[in-house]
Amino acid sequence: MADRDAWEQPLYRFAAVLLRDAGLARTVVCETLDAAAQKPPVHADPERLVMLLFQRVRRRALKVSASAGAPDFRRGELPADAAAVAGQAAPERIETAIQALPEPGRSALLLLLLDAMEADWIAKLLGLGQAELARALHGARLALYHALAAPAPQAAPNPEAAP
Amino acid sequence: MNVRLARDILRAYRPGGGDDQERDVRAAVKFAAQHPALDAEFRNQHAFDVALSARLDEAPLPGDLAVSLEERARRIEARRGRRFALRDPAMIAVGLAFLFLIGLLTWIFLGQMGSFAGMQETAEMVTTGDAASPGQFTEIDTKAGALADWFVMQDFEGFAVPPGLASAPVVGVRQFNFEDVPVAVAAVARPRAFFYVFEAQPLGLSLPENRWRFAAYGAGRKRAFAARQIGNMAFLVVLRDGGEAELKKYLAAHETPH
Repeated sequence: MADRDAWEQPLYRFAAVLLRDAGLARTVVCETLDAAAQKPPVHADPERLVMLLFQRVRRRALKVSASAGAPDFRRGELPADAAAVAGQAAPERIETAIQALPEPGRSALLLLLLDAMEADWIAKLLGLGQAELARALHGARLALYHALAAPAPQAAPNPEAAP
Repeated sequence: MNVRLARDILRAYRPGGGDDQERDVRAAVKFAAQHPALDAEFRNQHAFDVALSARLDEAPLPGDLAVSLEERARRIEARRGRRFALRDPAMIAVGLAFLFLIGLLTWIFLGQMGSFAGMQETAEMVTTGDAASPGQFTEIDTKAGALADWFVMQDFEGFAVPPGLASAPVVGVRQFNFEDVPVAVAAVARPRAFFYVFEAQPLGLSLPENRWRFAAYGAGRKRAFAARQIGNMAFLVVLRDGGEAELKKYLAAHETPH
């Protein structure tokens, strides 16, 4: 089983974070893979094939779950406690925070974190140049850090639970 | 290598170390090692990414899903492999010779006609598109290369522009149907131009990917469009003011090496 890159799992995780709905992500990914098996993309060397599949899943996800607002190209440095903040955040909270990021930083950072493909392919998938990809990634990292560093939202109180 | 380039490369560094053997990444890491501020920035970013990546990988996929996805992925890969295996070298040689012959005859034939398949329909489509009033466009302020997502949100798949035109400033967008073929249009500010994108096959177009085809149209054939294919989509450029000569000059100025 170690004879191939298991790109399908990052593909599912990518869809699951963008959609925040495991069932829907499963449907979208399975349908995309089935369609590709029926009619493989043209000019599909392995890396391009994987990129095209991520692109198709992303397009479907964007239709269901649009990103939040304009691209975020904020400047500044990532604070020194960034790794500690990320390490303490629950996976669920990280996924929610990533899902709330604006495009194209959201997809770019998620693809990078999932180790889905090389940066060149991420840039191609998103239609960005090298410098634009770098800016999008940095803006997404800063926005994600600030979302995770903010106090965790409290669960809404249940009035029926009151004595 | 300079600080800006090194930073751009390192900001796209994958947390799993998959880029360690890439020449430009190695050069950027080496450069950063000589610039403490950049090095610290990179290390901090890398630690952040590693922590995030580990957290994202924590939740295992349901067992049945992992198996089901792998089966599907293997089916796609096997299909690719089978297609490749069928390409016997002798058959490839015969096929190429045959295609070359057909291509040569078609080229000679179309060259004599000064046209290409689908040109007439495309000219009609562009004439329809050119007649749009400014009020029919949705105002927007972006680059042509950033429009794909916008059109996806409008249910138009496959908007793409050649790399050299990705930075063209777009001030308006619209969609219309021509003979049931959805057409996406971007109005460019400088120089005033329209980019048209639509599926090539329904209009009978088959264009080269890396080369422009030009065609005159309109009253007195004074207007011209340039067309090429990007995947299965046709991409057209029309200048508001100017014919084929101006169009060639504009495209030559924005051509990128393939």
